[in-house]
Formats: sequence, C-alpha cells, structure tokens
Amino acid sequence: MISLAISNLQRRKVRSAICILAVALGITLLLVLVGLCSGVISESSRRVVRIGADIIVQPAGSSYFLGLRSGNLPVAYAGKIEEIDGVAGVSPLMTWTTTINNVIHVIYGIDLESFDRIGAGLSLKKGRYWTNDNEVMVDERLAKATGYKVGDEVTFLARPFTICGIYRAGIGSRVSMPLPALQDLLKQKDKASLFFIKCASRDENVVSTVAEEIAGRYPGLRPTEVAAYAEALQGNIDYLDEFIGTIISAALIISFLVILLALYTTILERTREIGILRAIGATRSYIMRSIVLESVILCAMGVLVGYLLSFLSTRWILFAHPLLTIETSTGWIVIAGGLGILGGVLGALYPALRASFLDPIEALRYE
Amino acid sequence: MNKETVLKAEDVAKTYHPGNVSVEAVQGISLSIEEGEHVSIVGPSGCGKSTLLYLLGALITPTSGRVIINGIPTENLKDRDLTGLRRKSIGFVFQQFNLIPTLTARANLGIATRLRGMAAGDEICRYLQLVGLEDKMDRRPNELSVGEQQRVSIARALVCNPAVILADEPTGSLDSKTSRGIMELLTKLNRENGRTLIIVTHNKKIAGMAGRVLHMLDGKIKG
Ligand SMILES: Nc1ncnc2c1ncn2[C@@H]1O[C@H](COP(=O)(O)OP(=O)(O)OP(=O)(O)O)[C@@H](O)[C@H]1O
Ligand SMILES: [Mg+2]
Repeated sequence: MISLAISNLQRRKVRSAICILAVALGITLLLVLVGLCSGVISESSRRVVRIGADIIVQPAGSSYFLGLRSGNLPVAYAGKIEEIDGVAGVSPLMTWTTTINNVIHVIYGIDLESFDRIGAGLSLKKGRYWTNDNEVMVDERLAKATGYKVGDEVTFLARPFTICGIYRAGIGSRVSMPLPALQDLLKQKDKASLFFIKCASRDENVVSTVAEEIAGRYPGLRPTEVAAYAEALQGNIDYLDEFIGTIISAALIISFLVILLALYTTILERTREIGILRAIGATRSYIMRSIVLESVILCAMGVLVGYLLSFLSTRWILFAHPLLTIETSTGWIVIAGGLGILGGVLGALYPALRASFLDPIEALRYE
Repeated sequence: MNKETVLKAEDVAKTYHPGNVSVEAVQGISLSIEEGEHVSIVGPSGCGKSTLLYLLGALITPTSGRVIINGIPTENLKDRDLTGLRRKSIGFVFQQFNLIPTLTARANLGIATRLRGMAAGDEICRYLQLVGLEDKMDRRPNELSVGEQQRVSIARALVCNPAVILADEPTGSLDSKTSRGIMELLTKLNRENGRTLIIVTHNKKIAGMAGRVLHMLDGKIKG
C-alpha cells in the first residue's frame, strides 16, 4: 500500500510539492508566532525575576507589564514598608515606555543604592555607573544590537543622554537611568511606579506573610510574589489564548483545505484506477486507507519541511531583530506536527470516502 | 460424477440508466456453471456479454435476480465479505486491460497478490514468464504494447490462483500466435488444474474450444 501511495504522489510532483509547502507554511506560521509570543513574554518576565526581589508592589489594578504606567506611588511608602517584619530592603522604581530610534523600550528609573540591596544589582561590564542626571546605562544585548558604546549619545523623551556604562543583559530593562532624572522628566517628583521588596528570607512562608501584611496595611497596593510573576504576566495578556487559538486554527485549516483539494482532484483523475483496485479485490476500506495514507505521507513531509522552515525563519528573524526572543518548546513542536497531520487526515476523509464508494465498473468505464 | 456448482445465476437482470433512458443490458438470465467447466459466451457487440460476466463475478449488483458464488448468495453480503469471496474465487481479465499506470508489470501483479495476503515474488515471475514477459517485468504499462498489457492483465488474473477465471475477450488485441499461446495456457489450467473458465469472445475458433457455448442476443441467452 505504501509503494502505491508513493507512486501516486510522484505522479503529480508539482501538486505534491505544493501540498507539502502549504502544510509546511502552516507549521512555520504556528511555530514562529507562538515561539515569538512566548519568547518575548518569558524573556521579559525572566528579566524581572532575575532582579532578585521577592515581592513586587504596584498600585492595585496595575498591569503586570511594567512600564505601562509611570508613577503614582509616593516614594515615602518605601520607608513604611521597610518597617514591616521580614522586609530586608525596598527599592522604588519608575518605569516608562518610550521609543529610541523607533524601537519601543521600557526604561527603568533606578535608585542604585537600594536597588543593590534588593538583589544582585546591575553588573557592570563596561564603563561606570552614572554620576549625574544626564547619564544612562544600557544592557549588553541592546549595545550589541545597536552598536552603542560607552560615551555615545542617545536621545529619548526629547532629551540627549550620554551612555556611561553597559551592564550584563538579562536583568531589569535594557535602558536604565537615575530615578530622580526620570521623575523629573515625567514631572512626577517623589513618585514611583512600583517597589521591589527583598525579604529577610527566601522562605515561601516569610514571603507570603510579608505580602499579606502589605496588602492588609495598604489596600491601595497590590503585592505580587515574584515566584508567581511569570504566570501573572501571561494571565494579564487578555487575548493571548485567543491569539494562539487563531494561529492553531489557521495551521490546521491550511493543512485541511490543501489536502482536501489535492486529494479531491486526485480522486477525480484516478477514478479508473480505483475501479481497477476494487475489481482486483481491494475492499472499500483498503481504498480509504490508501488515500488517507497518501495524505499522511504528504503531511508528514510537510511537517518536516515546516520544521526546517521554522528553524530558518527563526534564525533570520533573530538576525534581523536581535532584541526579539523566540522560544520554541518541544511541546509546541510536537503540537504543530500533530496539527499538520491531523488537518491532513481530516482533509483526506471526504475524498477517501468518495473514492471508496465508487462503483468499480462505472469507474472502469471512465476514459 | 457429481460436480459442485461454482457459479449460479437465478433470473438475473441488469438495467443501466445512462441519462434518462434505461438500457436493459441483461434480461432475466438463469444459468449454472460447474467446477472445472469451460464455457464461452458469444454474441454481437452490445448484447450484454460483459455485463453478464460482471454479474457472475459479483462486480456489479443485479437489478433483479441473484448470483450465487460457491454456494454463497451474494445479494446481502457486506462489501468486505463480498470482496473476500471474489478475491478467493475469481480472477478477472477485463476487456480493456486495466492496469495501474504508475506501477510496473511486476508491481501490478504484486498488488493483486498482496490484497490476498500472498507473499508471491516467485509466483509473479513465473506467471509473467508464462505469458512471455520475463524480460519486461519492470516496465510500466505505457512502456508496453497493447498485446503485452493484455498479457500482464492475464497474468494478474492467474497469479492468485483463482478457482474461476472470467475473461472478457482475453485475446481481442493479440496476434494469432500470442493468442494461441494464451489460450493454450488457459485451457491447460482448465484441463490439468481443474480451473473453471468462462471466456467472452468473438473468435469462433476460441469459442469452439469450450465444452459449452452460450449464445447471447439482446440481453438473453439463445439455446
Ligand atoms: N455502465 C453502463 N451504463 C450505461 N449503459 C451501459 C453500461 N454498460 C453497458 N451499457 C450498455 O449495455 C449494453 C450491453 O453492454 P455490454 O458491455 O455488456 O455489451 P457487450 O456484449 O460486452 O459488447 P461488446 O462485445 O462490444 O463488448 C450496451 O448497450 C451498452 O451500451
Ligand atoms: Mg464487452
């Protein structure tokens, strides 16, 4: 049966190739978009988690996407929170989203002294920390992507800044500047967007007790334990599931339609052979199975080509946009492959059923 | 000697409906064919010979009446059982030699044997040799002459060792030498191996080799 299926696929090479390519495109679309989505989200949440704080305190009702609000949190809270039992350090942070050379960036306004206390701090790779309000620091990844060097000038929020240092990528934002300077720029003196809190111990109970205490004392504040941050961030993206669902359906429907059309035309032109097979002793189910098998072979090849295309386009996207992150998990690779083949099997069902119910003699009379 | 009836038609009729006319291709034929018989069916073109052969081989269902193969009435069989019965008992040689164009001669026979669960590499070679195609086994139908294609389709019918061979003008497109060879092969299978042979033919000489000749006219059997 396999040799028959393969010989049939070889007969119309262009059609088979188009099917394979279409299935492959569906797979690529799925893997790249989902990879991009989860890559960007998890990379940005990782950068927050790696700061090293145990709790993030935001005004109640804020987005977990840091940078969507500037400051409406009085920095004075910091001192009060610091007095709570189990709190080892509090660092106020101002976030703001702006574009630098047409690329969107979240900028952190950092109080270096307290920032060092709540985590590992910014680890300097080149240059030095800022000494005045006209200096900013960028991370290595941005420096590499843009070619920024210590001493270069960058302009954002309508002001020029000098890059005084470059820190290790993977922690915090890609652009950091002194907290007072950002407060000044945004005309929000003594305000912060959030507080990072370091607890006396990493122990889960200590952390959650502190979080409860903060929430209890200040109903206007919402503490989030950093351990739960990544999940909270994903839950915060309202349309993520719908978006991924749409991509999944697109990949499935592409496979389905292409295989349906291809096999349907195949059946029309092979009516006579199907009659021969029936006449020499093939059952209806044999005919069905051989046609579904054809589709599975096509889709499996499409899936493999799709894996290759996804790999290549991922490389290409990362080359063209080095600040993006694409994470393709094994789980999604398996799901994408499964969807490609599922779509093909579903698309093959109708043509296969039709073929199996051809009257052998009628089919033989086809010229 | 009391022989088994292998094929039995009870008042079978077949009406085709091309467009909005109806063609009564076979009109109430009853006949019995016994194991090991050699029967020819003759008659003018369009009188229903092929249709009768398809009915006897249960390739089409009769409009009325019934066909019994090896004592098993076929009218209520499920596709799988009917196909199984045909695989086991019947080998067809079609008027238009129906080969699968993408497959070589060898693979065309291979499909037929595999459908019957036979592993028959040697048998395939032997039968292709018998029809004189030992040096063309790996050619596809479009690389074979019309007569050669006909011989492949005969080999395909024989390779599964069917009890009954139904052949629709098997020598129609062959020269007299090849056609004599094929007939010798078929009659030998009939005489020595006890295969039942039913041949539709226009050729008087070939018809005359049979033990019984059925004359058809307008969908009926005359005498
Ligand atoms: N599938 C079909 N649909 C409609 N009419 C058909 C069909 N098959 C056969 N017929 C008609 O039925 C009649 C008998 O056809 P059949 O093929 O059995 O004749 P035949 O005796 O084998 O002729 P020939 O010697 O030319 O092969 C013819 O009139 C033919 O046109
Ligand atoms: Mg005929």
